[in-house]
Amino acid sequence: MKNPKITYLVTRTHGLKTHLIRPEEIQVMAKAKSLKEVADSLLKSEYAEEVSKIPAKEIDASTLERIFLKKLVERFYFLVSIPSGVQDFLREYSKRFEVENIRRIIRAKHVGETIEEGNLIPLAREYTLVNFPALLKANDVAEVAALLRETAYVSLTEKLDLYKKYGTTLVLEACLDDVYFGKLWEMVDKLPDKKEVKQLVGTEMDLKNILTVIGLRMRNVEPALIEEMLMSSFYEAERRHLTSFMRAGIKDAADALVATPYAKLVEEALSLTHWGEKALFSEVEKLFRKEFYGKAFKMLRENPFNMGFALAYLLACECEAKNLVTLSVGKDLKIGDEKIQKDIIG
Amino acid sequence: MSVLLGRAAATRGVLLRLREQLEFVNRGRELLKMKRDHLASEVNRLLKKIRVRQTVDRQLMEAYEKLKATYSSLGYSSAASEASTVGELEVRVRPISIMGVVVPEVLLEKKPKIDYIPSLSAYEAAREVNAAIKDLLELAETEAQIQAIAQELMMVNRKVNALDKVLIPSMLELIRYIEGRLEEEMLEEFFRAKRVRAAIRTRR
Repeated sequence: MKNPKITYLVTRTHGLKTHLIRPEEIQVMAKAKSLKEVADSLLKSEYAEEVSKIPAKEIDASTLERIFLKKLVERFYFLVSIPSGVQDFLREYSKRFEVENIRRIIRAKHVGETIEEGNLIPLAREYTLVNFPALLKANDVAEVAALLRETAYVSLTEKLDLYKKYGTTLVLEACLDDVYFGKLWEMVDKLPDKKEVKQLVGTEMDLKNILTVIGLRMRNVEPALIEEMLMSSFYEAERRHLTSFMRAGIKDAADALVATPYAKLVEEALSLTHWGEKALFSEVEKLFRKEFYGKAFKMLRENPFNMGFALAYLLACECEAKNLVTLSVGKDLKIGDEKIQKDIIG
Repeated sequence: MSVLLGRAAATRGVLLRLREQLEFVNRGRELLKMKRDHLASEVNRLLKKIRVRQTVDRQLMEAYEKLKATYSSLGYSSAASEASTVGELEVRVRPISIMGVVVPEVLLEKKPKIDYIPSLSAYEAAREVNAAIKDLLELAETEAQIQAIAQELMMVNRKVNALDKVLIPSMLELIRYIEGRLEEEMLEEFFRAKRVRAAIRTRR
């Protein structure tokens, strides 16, 4: 017998899913002649309220991007607000925005640039325990780490020496991911429908790890640093698989992951990189993104009655926001319709 | 020419000074011609270097397309955040002299470090831009050098022309005029002396 609270959450999610703009509709919007036309199309969606507030002459891709991200955060936290018994997990899952904002602040502080609230994902104060106004005012990365000492991101302080040694924020960013996914992974086992939830969270972790290895190996980054970048939790691609993938030669790199479900994907990705100067990194990134959101859409289709559906809905929201950003920025930069349509996921 | 003719006193001293000046001007003209030839060969050499412009244009267009794709894929705010992980490009411009012409020399002191850009698409775009930077700076340096040298070449050419067509011919004419006047005066003097000698002889 299903937990009634989960049933309630899933039922509500089914209703919420109907508010999403279908990828096919976004494909049609990609044929719009201008950004103004895109904004007009959005007036029939959930974004209407915010979009209608912008005077016609002031419509630009940055403003629209901010609206899409704001709506995305609202959608995540709306699901958190539904009494479902898994609110803690969903709240933890929604911390990806908090992590992204900390990441942006660290990057800016690393090069001594000033960063303002407008450069962050609009995250309402009630959704986070992190004092972002203080972080924005910090003088350097060490101060950011110090300000985060009382939060879940305390381990950033331990990574400061490594950050100084390599001179890159990648170490700290990996630490943030590790904290975020580590906490989720810990909570997954206590959830109902943990198999499906684990599949989504785990796949994201694995793909992130594999993409990190591919990206950094291509750039001839020290193996020791790549090892540091791997998360401490693994799903189907375990540390031993990733280590042998990292150390394998050009021809047999994909074989190292043959015991995982990612061998075919990695083979396709490696064929795009050619292990050389002219590697199509962006295509590799798109391939991984499509694989991940593809899993989420599959979950939406195949598991309509369990918690995996709710999580997949959140990922569909994220995918919609990314697609709309691609569309609006693409229109702003006068990228061809076909190219935009190709980049839309779903 | 008329000015020179009008002001010059037809004396042997002036003639000597004029001849010295002419010799000096001729030497100057030769030097200017040498400078002109050297500058022209320098421009020719630089023009060969400027042929990379087409390649640089193509490289930049490709980089621009990649940047557009990155912005579209990540969004403006996220792409800006990715870009902030890249350190600044450091370039030093110092003046050097080519045949007395001060031209800029561009030295790439520090290339931006792009290896640690988190996003792969942002890294790809940065790699394209980075590849074009060295050639772009060389091209900018060459263009600036050509501009400065061409300006100087034009000035030198004008000076050589002014010497060839105006100053030297007028000096030669003045010298000829003074020489003529001095010859006339000498003849007059000779004739006067002859007449005086004849008058003295008659009185005796």
